[in-house]
Amino acid sequence: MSVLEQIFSAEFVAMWLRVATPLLFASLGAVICEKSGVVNLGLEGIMLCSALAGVVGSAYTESLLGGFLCGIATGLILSAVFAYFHLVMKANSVLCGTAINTFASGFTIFILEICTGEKGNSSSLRSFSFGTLDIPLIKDIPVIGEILSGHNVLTYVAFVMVAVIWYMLYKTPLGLRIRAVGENENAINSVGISVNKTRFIAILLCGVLTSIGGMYLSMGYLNMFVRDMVAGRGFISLAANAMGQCSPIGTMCSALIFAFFDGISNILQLLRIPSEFVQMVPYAATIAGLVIYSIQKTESEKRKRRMLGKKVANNA
Amino acid sequence: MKKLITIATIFIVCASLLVAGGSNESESAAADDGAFSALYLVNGSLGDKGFYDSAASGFYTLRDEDGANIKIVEMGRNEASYEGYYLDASEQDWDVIVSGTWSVLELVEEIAEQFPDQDYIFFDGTSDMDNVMGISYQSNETAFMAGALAALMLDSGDAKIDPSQRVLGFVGSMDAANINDFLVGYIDGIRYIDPTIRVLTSYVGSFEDVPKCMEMTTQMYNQGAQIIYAPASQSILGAVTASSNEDKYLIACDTDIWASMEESDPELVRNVITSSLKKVGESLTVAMRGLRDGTMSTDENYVLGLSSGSVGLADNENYRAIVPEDIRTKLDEIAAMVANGEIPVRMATGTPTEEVAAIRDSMKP
Repeated sequence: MSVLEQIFSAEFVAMWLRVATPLLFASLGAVICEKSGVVNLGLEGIMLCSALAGVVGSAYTESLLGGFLCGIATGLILSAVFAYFHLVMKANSVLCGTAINTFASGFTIFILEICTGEKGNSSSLRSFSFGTLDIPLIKDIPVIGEILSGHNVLTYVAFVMVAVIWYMLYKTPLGLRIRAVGENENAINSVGISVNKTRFIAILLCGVLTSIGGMYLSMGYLNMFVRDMVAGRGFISLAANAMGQCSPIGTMCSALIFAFFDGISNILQLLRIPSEFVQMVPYAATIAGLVIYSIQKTESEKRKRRMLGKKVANNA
Repeated sequence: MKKLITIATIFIVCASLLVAGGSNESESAAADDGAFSALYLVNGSLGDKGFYDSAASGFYTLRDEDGANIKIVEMGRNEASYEGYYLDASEQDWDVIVSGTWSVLELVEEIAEQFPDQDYIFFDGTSDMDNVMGISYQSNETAFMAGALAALMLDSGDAKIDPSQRVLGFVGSMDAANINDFLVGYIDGIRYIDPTIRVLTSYVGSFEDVPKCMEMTTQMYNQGAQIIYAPASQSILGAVTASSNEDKYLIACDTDIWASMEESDPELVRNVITSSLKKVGESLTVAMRGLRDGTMSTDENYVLGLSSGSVGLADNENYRAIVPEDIRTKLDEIAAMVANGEIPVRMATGTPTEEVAAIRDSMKP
């Protein structure tokens, strides 16, 4: 089977979406935070804690909803802690985020051991997971049905969220405030809106999205929590947000690009390509993406300047 | 009120640091009641269902059967802090300090040089120091058995195996010599049974990226691998999940995954035929007893293979249920031949990287 054949198969698309889902949630969270002018490095830690909280919550409440709420609550609490230290105590956001990540790695193992007596995984807990969704009618269409239907519920939620967050940011008063705080906090202060309050809300929203991304790992992808299972996805999401220029659609595209190359790296190794090279592919793609982005940006700025120059010349 | 909150947060942060950093007690180590005392410094934390847990079990045996004073310190993930643990430990009065896996070898040797009177055991590697006993395992031999089993199972007529697809798989954690020892042995085992079988190889590139391991294993099954062998450290649970989702067979590694998870999640591990074991715990018990009784010495390196019984396939109920009796008998014969050297098994350690890559690529379809 050739590589192309494998890439253009419905199975690959399914894998692609599976890999992209957690990135999508976390990077959307990063979009909101970044729009409000806060760099939230704690995504990784929030994902990890929520992944565990979801599993433990669903096991103890014996319901999926219970686990879901537990995971969200954990995300909110951690985000609130982050926001408190960053906004109220004026601590550096990078340090706060790093603290959350360090805390999460140890804390999850600690809680895991209390709940299961084990430090490695939660397989002894009877936890619930999000099921897959078959879309009626569409699922019966050949090829398209296979591609569009039968994914995890959270995967669909992730794509819906892209639209929701876009609407929230660009069409609602809250979105306007969040964007304004990020652009110029003095301006928004001058019209009597609290900078901290707006940022607090943005950080909490980010926490909710990120925690869903975390829960997807332990309650969708796998059916258990394994320590340190987030494995850098929080950071990749931050990169996706940077490459997507902090816009929901752009971020979705870059998250999909990252996931695509990550997916490719799962396949390429099976061929006679050195594994070191294959493991490099997702990161090389990131760098290439950033280069293209910055070239475009400088080009468009040059063009703008040229246009401006012409206008000035015409007027004179 | 604000002060109170600040104090409370500082307290919580300190407490969680303690938790994260593992127990950091430095109280008087070995009680002086004459019993043998041993300390295990874990470069990570227990619960990996692999090496560390297995090593710890050797300590528990020593405590329960011989009444030894044991202590296990989990040093966590922060490698920068390891040296302090070793220095503290070496200044205390332990009969032996044990640790293992390549990431701390240099550190152990450095510390051993500073404390020439302290005995150390280093497992999963060798050391030339006079006061460090090296214990290494012939992972290539245990992997050989996994390969032979996988190849024999292809023609067992099992419903989950398509004998017309002559493809098997290998998912490793890292492209490193210790993992490639498994690969080379696995390939040799397969070739011993049927040289026409092809082997797909992937490396997760991480020890704990469980989702990635799951994707890789799934892709491998999709491309026709009938049985996959997964020395993938902690991320092996991803491979186990994939084997359950795709309903194909998996051979696990290091610890008996089926036995350890059979009660909690029998559905998940139903396709784990067996595990290739390194019985780290047993070998440590033997080594520490040998050290205590003077029959083993720290200036030696011990290499344990099939002949010592320290490596081999896990013989559990699932193995007996899935693998037909004639194959099991055949495997026992092969194991005996490998143990007495009749069948040579290649190693990756000491072999140039290009050669290992050539072996790997020669098996790809």
